[in-house]
Amino acid sequence: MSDSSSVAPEELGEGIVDTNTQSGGEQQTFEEVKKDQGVLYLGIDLGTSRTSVTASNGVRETVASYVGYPKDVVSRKLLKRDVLFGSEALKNRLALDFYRPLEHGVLKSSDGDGREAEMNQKAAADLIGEIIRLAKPRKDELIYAVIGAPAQASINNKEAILDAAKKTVDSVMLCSEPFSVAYGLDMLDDVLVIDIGAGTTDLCRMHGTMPEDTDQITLTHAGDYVDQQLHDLLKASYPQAQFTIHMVKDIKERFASVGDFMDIVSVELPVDGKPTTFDITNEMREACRSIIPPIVEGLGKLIATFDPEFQDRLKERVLLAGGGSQIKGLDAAITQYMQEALGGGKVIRIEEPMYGGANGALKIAHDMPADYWEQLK
Amino acid sequence: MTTGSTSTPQGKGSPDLKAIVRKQGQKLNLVDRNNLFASIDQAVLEAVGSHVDGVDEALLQKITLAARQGIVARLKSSSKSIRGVPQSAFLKDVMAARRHLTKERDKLAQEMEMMQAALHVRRENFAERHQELARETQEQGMVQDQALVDQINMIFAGLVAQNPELAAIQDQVTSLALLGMQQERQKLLDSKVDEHKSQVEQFERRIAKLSQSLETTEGELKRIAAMKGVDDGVASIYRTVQGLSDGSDNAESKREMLAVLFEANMELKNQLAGSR
Ligand SMILES: Nc1ncnc2c1ncn2[C@@H]1O[C@H](COP(=O)(O)OP(=O)(O)OP(=O)(O)O)[C@@H](O)[C@H]1O
Repeated sequence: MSDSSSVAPEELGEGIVDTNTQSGGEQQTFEEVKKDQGVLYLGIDLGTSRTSVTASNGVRETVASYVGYPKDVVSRKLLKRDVLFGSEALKNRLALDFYRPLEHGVLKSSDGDGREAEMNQKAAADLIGEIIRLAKPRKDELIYAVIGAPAQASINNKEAILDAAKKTVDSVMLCSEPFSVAYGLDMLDDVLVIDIGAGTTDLCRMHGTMPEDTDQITLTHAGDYVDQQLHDLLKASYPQAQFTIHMVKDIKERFASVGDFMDIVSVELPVDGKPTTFDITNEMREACRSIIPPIVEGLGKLIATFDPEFQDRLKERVLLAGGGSQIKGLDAAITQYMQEALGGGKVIRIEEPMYGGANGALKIAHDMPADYWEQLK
Repeated sequence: MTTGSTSTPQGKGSPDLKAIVRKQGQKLNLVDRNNLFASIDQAVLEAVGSHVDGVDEALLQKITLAARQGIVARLKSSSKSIRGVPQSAFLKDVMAARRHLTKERDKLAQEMEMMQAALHVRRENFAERHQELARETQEQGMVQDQALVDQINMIFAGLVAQNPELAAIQDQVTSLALLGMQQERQKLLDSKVDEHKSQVEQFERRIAKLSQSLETTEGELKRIAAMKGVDDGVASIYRTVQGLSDGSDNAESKREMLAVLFEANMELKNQLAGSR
């Protein structure tokens, strides 16, 4: 029955007829769902503190890289789940065997043996399963995933990651995090990538081919390091204030800045249980700046060992990525420090620091030829 | 055309799926207008023709129109609509309902955990406190009893000296007074215990209620999880495998890099296969 032959709503009024006038003419019912097979691409960024996915179905999700298993039957019954992830795991950690499986940029102790190592691998595997699940893949679609793994992941780490992913996806590839960031921005030639994570800052030199070991430097001057610095500086300046490293991290994520004329950072911290206001502007600036010299030193090394003809170009093409790069004014501050220490430099902060790795991995997945995927199945 | 109904909260505020269907629903065509009007016209013609000869054409038209309007108006008031739901809209709301319920469930579970912990602590404290109270009562009781006995002894001392027969009465008075005193103390102790017991019971009732809500929420979640289509996932925008397009920027160098990346992964795959 077509619209034209139905009684017009104004004639019959509501309640009798009217075909598909709302909801944009969508008429599919459950039973009619088409079973066309499609291809879902996933770009995954596996990080110490955060694991993210962006997918070709428009889904993008992030989960804190925490995994927890109920300690005993009682906790299991209470929590009603066999495994918890992200902030939920963190919140319930007292009732859980708690894991941060990617600590310090690699699958924690996966090179060791024993139950702890085994459990860490299981946690990593479950985390990968969870992030894929969060991408809401359909059962009737092929799933191809590119996972940006920590640059320094060992062969055992990689095996654990691949095994975990293969449980849900049809074909999977690993790539290094900085490579995926650069690929995502179409800056593949003569580029330096600074990826500031929680546990590590990865510096990577891109020159048209895949970066090799000599193109990469990993530093431990990253987000966690800034937290520790800020913690220590606050302890020294305000010994009477009571705070934990978690509180410091929260404060940093809200106010991190390096500018000479940055906004005043005023926070409330308890003193003998009583909220008290402190001006921590100088401590914040100093802690955030503490990662600049080692980063520039690392960049200097990568520049100095590069083809002299292209060194200047390399200096002018530095990408700043990763959650830790969200410190206000950091791009300008590194630029300035580079100019002083290396005689030139230009740092560009990428648009979505938190999703830079995942977006790039998604782009790689999209661009990968079909037969490569087939061969890796 | 919606009925304008909004979803009404159910239980602890979970969106009512029926309301979603009502709100998001689209009505289906039940009546074909042309067929309907043709039938009315035909019926009017037959009815008039069988009773009146040579009816005026204009009058017939008026009667037909009136009959059409009359029937339409009646249908309007007595008809029922049938609703279908577009899948994506329905799923979106179901997912929202699920998120809401999951949050609710987590909140309840957490609250229950806290209540249980509090109850546990309270029970332990009460048990300790009762022992303490019993001990204190006993200790104080001994002192009080002694004082009472001393008082009675004092009162009777002179009297018994005058009349030794009164000694028996003194004994009776003493034991009655002690009994009364002990009963009072026990009453006091019992009232404390009762007070604690009612506090514990209150906790237990609250926990039972929470557990009931939790069960209901779990049930709702299970029902949603069992719904066909909910876990179908979100479709990719691609139907086929893509690959780098020739026209893309830096196509040549990208192709090269993708090949190197693939080779590295192939090598890893072989290496892992070899080591197993
Ligand atoms: N607004 C912010 N300002 C400054 N730092 C931030 C901000 N938001 C997050 N961070 C920091 O970013 C870090 C996490 O970054 P990211 O998520 O990229 O790390 P990761 O990829 O999980 O870690 P890694 O690269 O070490 O494996 C944390 O140290 C966090 O505190």
